[in-house]
Amino acid sequence: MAIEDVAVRREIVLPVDRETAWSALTEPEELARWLADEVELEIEPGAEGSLRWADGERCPVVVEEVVERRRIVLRWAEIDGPETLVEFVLDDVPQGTRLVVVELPVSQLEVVGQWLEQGPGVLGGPQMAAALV
Amino acid sequence: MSTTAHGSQPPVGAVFSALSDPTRRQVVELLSQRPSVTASELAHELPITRQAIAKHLTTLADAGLVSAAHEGRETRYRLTPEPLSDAMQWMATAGSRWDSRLARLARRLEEA
Repeated sequence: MAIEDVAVRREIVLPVDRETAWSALTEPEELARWLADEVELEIEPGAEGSLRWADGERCPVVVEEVVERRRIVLRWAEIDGPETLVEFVLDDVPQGTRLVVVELPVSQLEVVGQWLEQGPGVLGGPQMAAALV
Repeated sequence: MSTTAHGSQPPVGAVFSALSDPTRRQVVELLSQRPSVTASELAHELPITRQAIAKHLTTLADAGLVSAAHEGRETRYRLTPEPLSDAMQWMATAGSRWDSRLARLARRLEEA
């Protein structure tokens, strides 16, 4: 079993600059247009909030890490799902801005640790996304 | 998620956690190749002690991935892979949720 078997990874190139992409990921009213139907969350380290989807599912969220215009890590548990970490990473590419999303059950961090160096931060090292590239 | 349908099934987190250990993943693989095994039989195939294997089997049983049956003096273990499909189900559900979220994001930014 490899890391790809325990994490969900998606990648998309957004046809906008980093600044615009960062706003789409951090402003609650922007997040409410794509991430969830209701967003009560400030993207600041340690902030707690919630997301709600049209099907009524309400999900508490903790902001674990924020690196300005680069990276956000959230921790949440959707109903009946495992507690997971969700990481967003932005990169400049010729066509705009690349967004990589990785969602990984917290219980799998041990597995990720086998790929990563020990270090500071909730993930114990460099980015999850980097490990998956 | 499909965990609801099973009611008393251990949560998906326990399954992922049980599978986070490479030896346990090996045990699961060996169990998937035969109807049932004893801890001693597994000890012949893996480079760890029978005691260590018994411990891994207990963790797998707690996650609902393995069931134990006593036959005479020996305990035979067999794979009960249903929770594994819950974990796979989580991967599929989470993946398709991100597909639609990112499609919405891309549409939003193309309009803007």
